[in-house]
Amino acid sequence: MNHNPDCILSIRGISKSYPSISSSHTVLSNLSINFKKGEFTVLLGPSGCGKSTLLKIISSMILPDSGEIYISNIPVHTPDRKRILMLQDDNQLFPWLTVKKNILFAVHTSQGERRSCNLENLLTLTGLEKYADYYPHQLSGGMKKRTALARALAGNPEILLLDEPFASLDEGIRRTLQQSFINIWKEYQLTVLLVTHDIREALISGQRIVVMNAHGTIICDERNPLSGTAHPQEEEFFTLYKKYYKLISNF
Amino acid sequence: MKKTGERTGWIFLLILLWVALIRIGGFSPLILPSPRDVLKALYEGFTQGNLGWQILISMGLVLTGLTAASVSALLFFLVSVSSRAGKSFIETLTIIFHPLAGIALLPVVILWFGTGALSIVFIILHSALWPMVTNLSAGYQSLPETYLMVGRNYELSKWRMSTKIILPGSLPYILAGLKISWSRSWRALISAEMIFGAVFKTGGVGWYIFSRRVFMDTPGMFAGITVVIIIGILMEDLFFGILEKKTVLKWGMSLES
Repeated sequence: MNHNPDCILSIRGISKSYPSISSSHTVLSNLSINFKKGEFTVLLGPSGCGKSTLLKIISSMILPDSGEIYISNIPVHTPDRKRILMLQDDNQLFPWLTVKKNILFAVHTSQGERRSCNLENLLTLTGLEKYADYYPHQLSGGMKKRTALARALAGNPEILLLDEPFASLDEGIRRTLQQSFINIWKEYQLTVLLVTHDIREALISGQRIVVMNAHGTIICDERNPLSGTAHPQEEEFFTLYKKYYKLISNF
Repeated sequence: MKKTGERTGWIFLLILLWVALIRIGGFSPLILPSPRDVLKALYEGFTQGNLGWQILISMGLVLTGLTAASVSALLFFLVSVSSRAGKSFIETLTIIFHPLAGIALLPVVILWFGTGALSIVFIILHSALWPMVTNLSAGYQSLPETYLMVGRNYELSKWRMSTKIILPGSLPYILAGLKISWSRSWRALISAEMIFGAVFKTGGVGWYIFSRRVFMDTPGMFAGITVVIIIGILMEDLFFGILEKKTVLKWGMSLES
């Protein structure tokens, strides 16, 4: 396989089925795609199209039926801290650890040694300075997401895999967090793969937009012409919104 | 504070009912002594007898048994999460031994260890171990999959996964198991002490109650029972209450919440 030095993550011929009552249900079918280092890609698709399954496969949380995942041209089969998966689930923080300790959890190696981490910077970046000693149950939904994000960043990952990270939040908080996250992505120069069914989020956040249909196949993969400049009031935003809406609803 | 007040109120009411029962029923003090007689017997037990020492013996035995049960339960749990075969083996052991009452093992225990403290500790260990194993297992099964995913994402070893995620995540169930184990072992201890007689020369609270019967000292028997009840309440409200307040309640992880 020819290796593009800019390509950090390569997905080759991934297929995945889940057993159902009568037969098996195919979620992903022979899917291949490459991601460049430092790129912010949004994976857009209807619910149940296999977006989350793909993220779990990329992070090696589940194994595909066939196909391989390559990180910098090396096949990977077990989870590691280079590819941090941030789930939609509200339960991703450990309730017995404070915000500070939840974040520092990411900087301990598998043997318990502590790596360097600028905790204060992370707390400031995520607006959690005043809540460092709070326990997760004392936080709002938005603060929990920010803590999970700070933890994901603390481990200094190469690739951040986000599964609808802001889905369960109020509109206002979601927009604020989306903007904060774009700023964080620019500062950390991360490779980001964000899964969502929110077209608006995709247009505002992504440099590249990949659309999947309900059968787990990629039907559109293109640069986002509005990357970094998207404004929902503009004509072009509305045109693209309609285009992606049509693509998603057709399936 | 509210809970303590309510508890004290109910206990006071029960004592009033006890006094009323004596007054209305006209029971002989040899059948049902008054709270006053019981308090007097309790005072004499501490000042003229060895009740204080006997309480210490009982608490020492129960704590030894509970510690042994906790360590064993932890080892069993680690075996159970380490592999599928381990899980199946521990499940089989639990199914065999959990329903087996400690008292049913007494003849065999006497045969193996005699009638000393070791036998009592063994009975306590048996009574406390299986509820702990069952609750540890329930705690593990109720653990959100996300916690384990986070652990795997940060490449935790099996040991660190167990100590940093599985055990703290299962703590509400561990505490529930400890409570059940405590009450079961406390009951088992009192029964075993009555059967095995005076261990460590004076015996424990169980032997105190039983020996009062020999002298038809009914207030003394009630004094012993009162001690058993008071220790039970103190363990429940103080020890476990504080432990829960400092852990699961503080973390918003209580099973009740």
